Amino acid sequence: MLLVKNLHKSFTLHMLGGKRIEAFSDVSFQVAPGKAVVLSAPSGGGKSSVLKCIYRTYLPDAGVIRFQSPSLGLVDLASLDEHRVLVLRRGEIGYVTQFLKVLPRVSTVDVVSEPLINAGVDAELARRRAVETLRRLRIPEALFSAYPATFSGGEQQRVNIARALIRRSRLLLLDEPTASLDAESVGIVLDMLQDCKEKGTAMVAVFHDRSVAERIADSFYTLRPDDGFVRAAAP
Amino acid sequence: MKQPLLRVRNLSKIFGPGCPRCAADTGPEAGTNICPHCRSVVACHDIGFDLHTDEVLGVVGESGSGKSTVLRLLHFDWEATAGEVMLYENGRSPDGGGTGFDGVNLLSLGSYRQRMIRNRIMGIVFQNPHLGLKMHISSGGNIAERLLAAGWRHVGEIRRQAGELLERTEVPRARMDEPPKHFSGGMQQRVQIAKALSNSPAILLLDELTTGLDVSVQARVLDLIRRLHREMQVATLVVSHDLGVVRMLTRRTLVMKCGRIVEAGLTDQILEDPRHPYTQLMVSSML
Ligand SMILES: Nc1ncnc2c1ncn2[C@@H]1O[C@H](COP(=O)(O)OP(=O)(O)OP(=O)(O)O)[C@@H](O)[C@H]1O
Ligand SMILES: Nc1ncnc2c1ncn2[C@@H]1O[C@H](COP(=O)(O)OP(=O)(O)OP(=O)(O)O)[C@@H](O)[C@H]1O
Ligand SMILES: [Mg+2]
Ligand SMILES: [Mg+2]
Ligand SMILES: [Zn+2]
Repeated sequence: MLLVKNLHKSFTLHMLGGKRIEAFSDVSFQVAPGKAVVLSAPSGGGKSSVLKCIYRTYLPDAGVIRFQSPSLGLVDLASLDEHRVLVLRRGEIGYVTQFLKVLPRVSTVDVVSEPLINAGVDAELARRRAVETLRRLRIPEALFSAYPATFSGGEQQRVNIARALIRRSRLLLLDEPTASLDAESVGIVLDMLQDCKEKGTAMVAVFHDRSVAERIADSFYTLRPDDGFVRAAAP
Repeated sequence: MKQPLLRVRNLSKIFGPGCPRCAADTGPEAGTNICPHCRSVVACHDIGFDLHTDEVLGVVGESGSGKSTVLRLLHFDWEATAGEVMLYENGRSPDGGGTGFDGVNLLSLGSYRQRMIRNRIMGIVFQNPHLGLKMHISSGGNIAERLLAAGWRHVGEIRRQAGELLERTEVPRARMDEPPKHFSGGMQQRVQIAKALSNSPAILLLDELTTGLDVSVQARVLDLIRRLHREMQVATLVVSHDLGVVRMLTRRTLVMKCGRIVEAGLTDQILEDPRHPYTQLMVSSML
């Protein structure tokens, strides 16, 4: 369903005299429906950047990201026009970012129900589903109407997960979704991810904890430690 | 995929006599929008983008980069030097909120028809409230004027609609008989928004909506726009020099410099992976 081939990403920093930073180079892997591939590499090795390229928060320099979309057919996410990328983000591709980024003054329930509302679900129903998802993730009821900006790291991360899992995605991108969770919460999240896989969702994930990764991964892909991150690590 | 609502191509505006070298010798590389040969101001040149029915599109750039010019050209306030603005009505008939000018270059129409189109499908909030409101007549009267232009005739209905619009934009109905000059900047902007929405426009043009307002008032106005957009489905162009505003309201953004679009992309991509030197400078200067 997703085929990444010879993907390459670098940054040119014009304010630093055109300095180039390689995020990763020559990345190739694929994922089938209902399967999860886990990316591994040392810190700075380009894991988050690969996910961001698939979501198109980053524009890749070279390579293809072939995605089989029910609504748009076979597309190349590396070059797809922005309106179509937004269509896929709205209905088919979900993303749990490494850190929660939310707009100010939006309550937890509204943050979580928004993706459903954007997908055309009635607002009342979406809010009920948001409440169910938050309960499943053991977010205290008292926080439902509060603003997530002030939450603890683990609470924010669970809100982030709730927001991504409230609707079905064909492809889910997960960047350290369990990093700041206690063991019990990790178990709940993995159960929820397992449910998604059984319903056919494909996943590309990054976990810093190998033992957690092994509970969900069907395969691992190691980003080659080429000169990219070595150069970036050295000042 | 749906057609866009508006397709803008090669839009240009030159203030001054113009000469054959105006375009080549201005722009981001030249670092100016003033033609060195004829001293004309190339306020914008070769602007192209699509606006879809359900989207909010951001336009950012430094002062003088041509953002307001683009808006004023789309609103037919100024005559473009060149370019096309095509409207696609996706089958809407003139009785169903359409204009009957599907697939026509709106810039080629006469001013009478342009005014009709503007009254029927456009709403604008000007950078300066003095451009958008008559400061000495009542707020309700400002809106009534717009409703009359859009074909409303019944006095009672006009008054009720004006009151409702003001309430939706959080201006107390009790104050609809007061003129905007009595109001704070934030309230004036809300009256402008109410007026802009009065004809249920398909296209909303917002120019520096929150510039010059206190931070807390800014936040309320932005929240209002977010809420209205959820409720109304109106294609919106948000012009701002503030990337924070664009981050809050839009999913796609155009970046302008010296009258040109230097970068266009998804808003999160513009913020996290900016490519043009000017965009990088702008993003790194945020907060
Ligand atoms: N927006 C950006 N602008 C400039 N450089 C960037 C950007 N994003 C990532 N990089 C650089 O690209 C390289 C890869 O970063 P990335 O965040 O993908 O690594 P990672 O494997 O996710 O690391 P970690 O495990 O620490 O999260 C790093 O050198 C990083 O500094
Ligand atoms: N009537 C006019 N006559 C001559 N030049 C004009 C006129 N109106 C605008 N300009 C020039 O056109 C250029 C673009 O102006 P515009 O108002 O579109 O900029 P802007 O991006 O909206 O700036 P700001 O952020 O300051 O509002 C500027 O150099 C401006 O001086
Ligand atoms: Mg990372
Ligand atoms: Mg302006
Ligand atoms: Zn010239």
